[in-house]
Amino acid sequence: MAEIYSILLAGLGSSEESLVSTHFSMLGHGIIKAGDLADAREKLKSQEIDIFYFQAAADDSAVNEIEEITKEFALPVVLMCASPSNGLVLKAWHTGAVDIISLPPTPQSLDVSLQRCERLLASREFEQTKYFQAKFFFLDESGKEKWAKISSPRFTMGRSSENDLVLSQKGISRSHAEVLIHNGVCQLHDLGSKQGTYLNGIRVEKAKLNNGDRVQLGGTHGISLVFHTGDLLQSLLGASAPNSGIGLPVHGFKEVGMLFAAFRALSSTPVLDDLLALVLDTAIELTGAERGFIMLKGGNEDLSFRCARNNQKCTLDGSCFQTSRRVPYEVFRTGCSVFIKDLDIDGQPEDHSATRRLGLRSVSCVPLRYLSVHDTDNISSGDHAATIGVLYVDSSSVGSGFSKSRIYALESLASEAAMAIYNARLYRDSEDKRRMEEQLAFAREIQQALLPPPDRALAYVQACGQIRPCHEVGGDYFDYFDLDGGRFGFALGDVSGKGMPAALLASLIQGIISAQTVFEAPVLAMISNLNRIVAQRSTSSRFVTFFYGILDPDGNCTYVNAGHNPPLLLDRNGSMKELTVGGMVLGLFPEAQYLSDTVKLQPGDHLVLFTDGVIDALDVEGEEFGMERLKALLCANARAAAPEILARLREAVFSFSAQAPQHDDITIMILGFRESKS
Amino acid sequence: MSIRNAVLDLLKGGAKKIVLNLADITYIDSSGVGELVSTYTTTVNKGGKLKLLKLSHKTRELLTITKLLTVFEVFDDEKAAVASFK
Repeated sequence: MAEIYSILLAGLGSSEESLVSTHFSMLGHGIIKAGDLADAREKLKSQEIDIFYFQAAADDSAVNEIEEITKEFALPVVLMCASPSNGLVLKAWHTGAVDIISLPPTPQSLDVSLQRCERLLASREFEQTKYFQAKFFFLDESGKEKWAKISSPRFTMGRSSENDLVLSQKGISRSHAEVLIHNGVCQLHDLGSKQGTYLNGIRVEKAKLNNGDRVQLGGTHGISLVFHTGDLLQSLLGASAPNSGIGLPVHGFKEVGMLFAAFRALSSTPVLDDLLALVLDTAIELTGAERGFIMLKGGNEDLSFRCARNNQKCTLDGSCFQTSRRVPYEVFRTGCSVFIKDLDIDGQPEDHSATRRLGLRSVSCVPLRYLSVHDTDNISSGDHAATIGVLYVDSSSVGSGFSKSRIYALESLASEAAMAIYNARLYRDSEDKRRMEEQLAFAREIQQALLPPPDRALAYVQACGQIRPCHEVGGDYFDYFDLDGGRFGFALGDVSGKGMPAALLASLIQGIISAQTVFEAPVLAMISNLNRIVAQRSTSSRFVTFFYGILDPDGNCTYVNAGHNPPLLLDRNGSMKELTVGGMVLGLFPEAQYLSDTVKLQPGDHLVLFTDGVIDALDVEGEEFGMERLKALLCANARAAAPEILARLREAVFSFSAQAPQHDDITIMILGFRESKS
Repeated sequence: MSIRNAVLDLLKGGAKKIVLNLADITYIDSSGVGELVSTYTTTVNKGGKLKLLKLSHKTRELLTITKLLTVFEVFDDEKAAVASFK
């Protein structure tokens, strides 16, 4: 930033004012402070001011206030407001704000806005203008872009050197045509030229000129001049009557301002559809088009309509958007922009016959392409440009020329938009992700609710259990059952795999077992049924390890172990016996056979059940908790009550593996058999 | 998954006698065991035979607990494994 600017501040609160003023004066700029808008106006009139930072009294009035300033003074205005809505942003840049900063201002937002103002000030097309300004845009013989200002009520054009605009192309008569301006209305007159004067392709003698009209002098090979009334925007929106236009900033400034404000709005518009509409509206205004659409690449690499708008900011239905698909598909495929000024004149009309038949005249189609920078680790490929779609606008009225600055602005918009669209889609994916996480949290609640209250105490047995799933939901489960004759049933299961799929199967199994215990099916029949059902209803590689036991008040425990880590029968002295009888895991071989066994518990004995998540728990060195540690801990706590043993085991496993991530569900159930006091 | 696919490819190619050398498998989880069994079942369904060779300690332990060891024929020597197909 080599330039020094004189910056006016108005409407800011005292702390903001001192923040902004300190920031800019430290960079060497001059600060002028004004109280309110009226004061600011006085200062703008009396002093040389380059840039105006302004905080409106209220967001609603901000737009009007900006308009008042930009009508009278052509300088970059930066609006500061509390929380700019998308609507405000759009309105603000319509009226001429270069940038919008939300409060409180940060050094970054101040620097960025200053840069934007700088670019504007440096633009050669910037000029002070107070009045309604008409001009022609054309290419001279060498193809250079030229503007011819109409600065008097009568503007003549022809071959003779006495004309305001001297044109020496073929077919131009000495006194060819003139434009008369009266009461803000511009009229084109043919002065009896030989080859004629054409307005938008039709030969005329006298006609009113509107913004964007194309005048051709000397037949179809003569010179083409595009007529501008100074502000593209205003005429498109039909916002001002011809004789009320005052103080509209110059064309180039407006264009660039539109662009920057659109960029700003882009970064605060996360919702994809809103974003697409904003991008399209901006593109339509930039080009003076009648309508446009955006197509985006879908998952299958095919382009599909995502948004279509007209110049009144109405959404059009893409399906009845009758236009040739050829242009957008070509642009998407090649990644190169296509600009067709006038299909009647441009070569290859036969290639775009569909477009032409609909009477379309000028078409701009740019790819939506962003540069994605790879990780610094990946040195082999450099920057990579990805085309995610196309932006297309067209107009049946003659296009207002495709100046380099216009083309550049459109392509810049497309490139920024592509990035913003990409981010919006990521945002949508993260929205999807958030919804998924919400659902998982919900599923966890449900799974928790399906589990029995973890602790159960009967006269003769005290049961306690705990599951810590690896994800929100998991494949471990346990359950308690009250059976006939005062018996106590208990089950522990571990579905292979993790997460949602395992959890769903676990719930199914829980349901099947619960149903069967109600009918007091014999244990072996129950297990066989379960095995068959799981085999039928899950994939060929999914299985469940399962343990089911029934304890009666006398201490007899009948059990079946279907491929599960053998639970331990822990006696008061610390000796342990593994309960291994049963059969293979459930769910793989429908015809598998099972056996049951019965053991006798003495008062003070415990049954310790666990899933492999306990044994396989890893510490930060990669060492397993292992059976040794488990047995040692149980031995040391053989005399404790069931809840204490559970707590100590839990603590031991969790602290052992604290530094390492949990990679499997961890489940423990402890049953303590005691003398029932009958 | 890759074991499964490799075996499927072999079966597609017409192989009927397959020995799976698991010497390099130091760690196998429940999903892996499931895949192994599923691969075995597919092979049998297609009229083939699948035998296991050189199980690591952990793999053997897991197959023991799940009582799946008995499903497979397991060998420690490759020659013996190959010779066992009659």
